[in-house]
Amino acid sequence: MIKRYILPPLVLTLICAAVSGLLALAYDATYVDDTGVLTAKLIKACDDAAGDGEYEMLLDDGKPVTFGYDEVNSVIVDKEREICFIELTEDGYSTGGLHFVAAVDKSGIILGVGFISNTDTPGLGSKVSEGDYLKKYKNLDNNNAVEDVDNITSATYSSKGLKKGIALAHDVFEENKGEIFK
Amino acid sequence: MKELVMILIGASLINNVVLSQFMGICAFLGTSKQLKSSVGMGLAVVFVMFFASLVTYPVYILLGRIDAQYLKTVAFILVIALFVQLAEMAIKRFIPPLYKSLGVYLPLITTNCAVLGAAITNVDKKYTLAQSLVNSLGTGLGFTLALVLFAGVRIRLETSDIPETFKGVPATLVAAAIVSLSFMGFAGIV
Amino acid sequence: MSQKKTLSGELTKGIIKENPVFVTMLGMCPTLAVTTLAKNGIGMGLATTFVLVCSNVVISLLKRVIPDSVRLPSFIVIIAGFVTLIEFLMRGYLPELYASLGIFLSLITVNCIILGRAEVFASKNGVLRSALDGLGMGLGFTLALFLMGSVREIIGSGCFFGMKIGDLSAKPMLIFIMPAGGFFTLGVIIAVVNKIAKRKPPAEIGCEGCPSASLCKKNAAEKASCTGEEAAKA
Repeated sequence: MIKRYILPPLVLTLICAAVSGLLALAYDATYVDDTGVLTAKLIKACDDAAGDGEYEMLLDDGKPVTFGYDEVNSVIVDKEREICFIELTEDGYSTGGLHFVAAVDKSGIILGVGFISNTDTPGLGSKVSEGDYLKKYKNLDNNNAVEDVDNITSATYSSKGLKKGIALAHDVFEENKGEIFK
Repeated sequence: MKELVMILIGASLINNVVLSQFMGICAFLGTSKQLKSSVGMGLAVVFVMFFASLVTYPVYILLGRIDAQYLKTVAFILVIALFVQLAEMAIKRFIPPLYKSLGVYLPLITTNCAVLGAAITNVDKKYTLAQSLVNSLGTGLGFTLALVLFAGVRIRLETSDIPETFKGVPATLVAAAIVSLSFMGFAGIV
Repeated sequence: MSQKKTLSGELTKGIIKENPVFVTMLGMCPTLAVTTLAKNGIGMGLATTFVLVCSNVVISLLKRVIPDSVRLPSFIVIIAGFVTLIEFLMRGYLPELYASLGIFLSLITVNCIILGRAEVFASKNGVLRSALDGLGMGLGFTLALFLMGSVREIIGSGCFFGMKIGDLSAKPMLIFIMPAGGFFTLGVIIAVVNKIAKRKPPAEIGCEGCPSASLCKKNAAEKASCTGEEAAKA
């Protein structure tokens, strides 16, 4: 009776509890919380997007400001040059495959894009984060101009994801200009 | 509504689970030899996938409450394994005719990565319950479609004259490559 | 599974003689999915090896404790635990590899090789043998993934570990890094391996290592037809 009905569930529960407990410990030991921190990668991406500068991340209670958008990770400002950098994660071919910053200056001109990571298919989707292609997104003054840039052949998803992100960055900036350059 | 239709088409045709996502390959190659077994396996996967996403949705919300989303893989696979075993027992006991056609494939599904894959995709994409269900349904139907289509191809493969080295699995994989190529044509739909 | 093998035999059998991908045809999903780059192939292979060794050791230690009726769920939980652990480690220390392996890292849980080895080997053998078996199988899997990844990266994007190879990189055959190219490459590699080994190609995807095989045979005894293979024989 005990062997048949009590022991098996007990052992399974114990295994589950042990596994979950150890994982909780491992999670705390390996988790690096870099939300709200200007990491070296982030600074490099901003440099790639609009040339070198001094950056500051907009924080609200220690957390990055996102203006309520899921795709927006953080908003970074260069006060001296009056440029706003919006850090985004967009879906390319894979979910959340494109991670980049889009730079918009005070008058709403899209200055450029800098990539943090791109995990779309190497050789196809990966082309959207290469310098030659990103040059085409420099100094565009509205979202129609973004839409008019040619997609990369056979990497339509990645190109569309990139454009969607840039257009969103532009919109976020226009909506929240006042707050960004307080 | 439009969004749900898009998810359905996306999951079943454009991002076909077998031919472009590479999930459930073992089952795909193992049970596509005959039309009958491929239909049975396909429907069993649709069934399990649909209910698995129904069950894993509240589990994930629960994990979110206690800030332990990182346990999702463990929780999901356990829930799916238990669900499959219970479903098998229930169907065997109460609906014997259905067990004859579907039930025999159920044990194979616990370790079918397409089921766990669909459940994880649902939470990764932050789908609502309705979207999750539609996504799982689409994924399952896409799996069935690939399986049935490929069963047709393999019947012809049996009778064709293939170089000795390629007989069996290699020829099957090359044929799968051609079927996968044809599914790339769906990429422009949405 | 013969018990008389030497310890080094346990280690080497998985690398060539019973190579999980080329011979027993297990773990096809990651083999096809993540091998667009040689680097990803190695990363996936080593992650799987880690899980395989750890789960084999733990399962072989616990084999007397776990009752038969909850055997499968227990194995799955232990394996999923180690998979989550390697996910944490990779996210913390190799974030880029973590991102490019994506969902397939979580899906190591349902990789048939791992559950298969737990079921047919670790639950019947001692700790040392199980660890060596896991290591050997894992290295065999890594080797196969590396081979696939190299072929696809060289032909498909004209690079090898990110380094461009002369003229190839100017006009690579893109199809090789697309899904269709994955199926094709694996098919051809298996054929070549068969040719070299002068072995008859396997007619079917292996049932021996399949974790569901025992359940499957139980069903088969109750009812004449079971899986597709079984049905085909009938």
